[in-house]
Amino acid sequence: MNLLELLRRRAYLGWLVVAVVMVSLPQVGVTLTNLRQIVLICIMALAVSGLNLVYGFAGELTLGQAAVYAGGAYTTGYLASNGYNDLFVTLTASVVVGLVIGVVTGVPGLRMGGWMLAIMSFFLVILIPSVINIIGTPLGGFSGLTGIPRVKVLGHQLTDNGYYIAVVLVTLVWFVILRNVVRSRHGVALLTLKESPILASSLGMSPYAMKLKAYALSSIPAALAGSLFAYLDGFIAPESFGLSLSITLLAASILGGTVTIVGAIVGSAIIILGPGNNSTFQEYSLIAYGAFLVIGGVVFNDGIVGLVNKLWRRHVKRTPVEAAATAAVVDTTLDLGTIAGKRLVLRGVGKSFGGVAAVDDVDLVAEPGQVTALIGPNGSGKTTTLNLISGYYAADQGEIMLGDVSLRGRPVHRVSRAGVGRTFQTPMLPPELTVRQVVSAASFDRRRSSFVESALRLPRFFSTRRSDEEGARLLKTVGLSSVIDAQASSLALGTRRMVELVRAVAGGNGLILLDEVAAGLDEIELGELARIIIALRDAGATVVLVEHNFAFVSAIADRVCVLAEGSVLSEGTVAEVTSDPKVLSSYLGEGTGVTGTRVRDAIDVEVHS
Amino acid sequence: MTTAIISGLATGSIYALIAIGYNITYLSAGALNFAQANLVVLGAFLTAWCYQHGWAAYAIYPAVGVAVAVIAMLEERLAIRPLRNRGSHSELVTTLGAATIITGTIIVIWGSDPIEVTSFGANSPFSILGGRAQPIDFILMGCAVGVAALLVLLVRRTSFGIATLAQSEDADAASLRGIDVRRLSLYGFGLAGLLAGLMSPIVGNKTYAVASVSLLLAVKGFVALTFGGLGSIEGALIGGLCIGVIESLAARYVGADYRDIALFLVFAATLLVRPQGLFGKPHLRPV
Repeated sequence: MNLLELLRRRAYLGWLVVAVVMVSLPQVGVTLTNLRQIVLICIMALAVSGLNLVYGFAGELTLGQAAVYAGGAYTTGYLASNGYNDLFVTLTASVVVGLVIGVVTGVPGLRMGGWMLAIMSFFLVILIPSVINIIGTPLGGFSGLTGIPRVKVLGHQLTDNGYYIAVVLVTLVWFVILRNVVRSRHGVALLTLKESPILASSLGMSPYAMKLKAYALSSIPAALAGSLFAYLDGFIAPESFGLSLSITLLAASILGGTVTIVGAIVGSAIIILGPGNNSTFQEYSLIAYGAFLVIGGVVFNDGIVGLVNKLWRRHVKRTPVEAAATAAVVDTTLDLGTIAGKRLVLRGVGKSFGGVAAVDDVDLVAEPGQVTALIGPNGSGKTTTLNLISGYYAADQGEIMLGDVSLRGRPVHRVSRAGVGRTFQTPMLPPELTVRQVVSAASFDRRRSSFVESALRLPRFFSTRRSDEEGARLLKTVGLSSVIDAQASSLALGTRRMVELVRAVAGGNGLILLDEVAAGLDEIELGELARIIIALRDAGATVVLVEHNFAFVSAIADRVCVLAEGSVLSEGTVAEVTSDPKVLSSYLGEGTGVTGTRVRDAIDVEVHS
Repeated sequence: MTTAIISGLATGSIYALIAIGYNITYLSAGALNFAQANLVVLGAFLTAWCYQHGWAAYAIYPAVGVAVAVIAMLEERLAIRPLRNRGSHSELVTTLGAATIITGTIIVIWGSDPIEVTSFGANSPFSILGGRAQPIDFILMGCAVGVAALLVLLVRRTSFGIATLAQSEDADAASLRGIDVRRLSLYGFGLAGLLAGLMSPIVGNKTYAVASVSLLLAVKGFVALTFGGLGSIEGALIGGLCIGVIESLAARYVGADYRDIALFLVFAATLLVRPQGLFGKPHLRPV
């Protein structure tokens, strides 16, 4: 059993120990008052964990947790009062109602995201009293629903201690499920999406579908919390689920740390045990929570758990990030296996922006097993062409074919799923992720396991883990194994570009698009980059390169396509293009003697040493 | 019918004034201010306090206007400026925090019960076109139209206004052209606060000074903003009036509990069908 495997099991062991200790608290004489505090913490932590998932991981603020919570509470209250009093029944029904409420607001709100979603979900909270009043007598109207019976499980009525144990177990089971989701590629995918929807879609994720899924998932704990809350005092009323609940949940989330799971428990515990117990503080609680939001938003984004983690890493673990800041190619063979490259054909492609033709009637063929370079002066349409292939822009006319599949008109994530990987002019690496995680987000759609499969650790989940190991092997091949657990965004530019390149390749993409991948690299880094690109080509990939560094291009390109003012000026091998008088006069300039030998020398030296 | 429409236009004018306030900070600071409605409500409490202490009307308007403007500028310094270049709508959380602080402070000082704001003496209803109305209804409509007209002129004719348009297109490009975007942001919040303060005696006369109303105004002002189109002053005015009438008619003909539900549906439909609103530009991706 390797170390990783052991750690993973020990994490489960930790949760198990927590469960045993918590469940045995009534036996060791902890008073009912104190148990009630723990119940309140569990209920709040459930609701906050959903907020963390949407806000901390998916990057969208929702204020509607209170509405879903109310939905769960009223569903349970109604069912329990009307003869369906079984915890399994009421929890399930509450979750279903919570999911419906969540999706109803999520569908219109998430399209625009940001403020639109926040206000939409906030509006939902405002509607609670009206909706309850319209439904009328069954829910008790404005005055509240009274006489909710004590909870039963399979016909047995639970005591106060039994209820406490049920709350603790439901909470722990949910947190283990949530941890599983967040620690799978779904967590990585959500953080990638939060960093940039542009990046996420280039990796085959549909931003809207991802956010909707996270949003729906976040309704589950809020509904569970509401359901458990309905049994607490046997009484619920509309005013329990208002503005102040939404604000309190957000304050707890920010206090504990939004991008953590444990943070939900820590934040809730602080709020329940601190302000919740202090009646003078109650009066000032809104001011304090407001201050948490301002301070949390401005200075400490990671909350208390983030702070502790940072201190832990700095003083106890001492991860050698500095030493690993740059990496060298160690493995000189660079065997990337075989990549099934596909032929890329652009025929008569054009795109105008407000009447200005950025790309006009471009024909381009990129063959598998070749490096095709797109060069040309600034504004000649190189990056626009790349973006047309990726699907960021929709072509006005022409045809874009990959193999025998048409890419034109497909959204970005579906272009990516056809086997297209790419890099960006400025490397896009989400700040929370390690190099290993960044690469594991590659080709999200392929060989993936669903939310449910990841949450319950079903067999498909482990097959995705194997594909992550392939990513690790790829990192090792290009010499990045020393930085595999370092924070990707903190690495040197050359290394970050390399990580991005690996991400574009991982998952078996047949077409690799590289956007100014050599910009800002020194000579040694250029040499390494060239070796990897050549290895990709030899493995059979179709490589399309947009580049200004002509020496670099002439060292590695098999075909060169020169663009000028949006159309193809010249096309051919490096030698053909450099001898074309049109190219010389409009782009390269005459008599400069560009040869590209220095980069080629750099490669040769490394191969032979 | 007439009664419902007039009352809808009056409350709609309040939503329009809030939405115009959102637009001012959106254009000048690139950030929406969740606390805009809370500033209006705070102004209403200050007005009520001034009346209780026997201030004269001519002193109250400038005093409340300046006081609220100062608080708004303070908010900008503490909750907006530190976020520069942070991106990804972090001001959503910090201005919500500011709004919560304002409401919390109001509750600590004045409590949760409504206080009457007697800025126009007796507000006796009268008959018009077969319906009933109050003078304040027409004063509110006049204010909303007047403020919108003034701001349209300000944005189109003054260098401040043109600078805000440049800022809202591209803050980096604007600062390269010599526009001090930080000062623009501060002044924008000051202006939005001044508007909130000056209008609060009039708005408070209709709504009373009560802490809980700010949340409703904030959300409905935002619906007006979205309906009319983010960044458009005319859109904010027309959006506010439209949704005011819609909710008033829903309350009159469907039932009082359907007032908010009707607006919720309008909001959802707007986002699904025409997210850029009536007057918005489609390429302006929302904050």
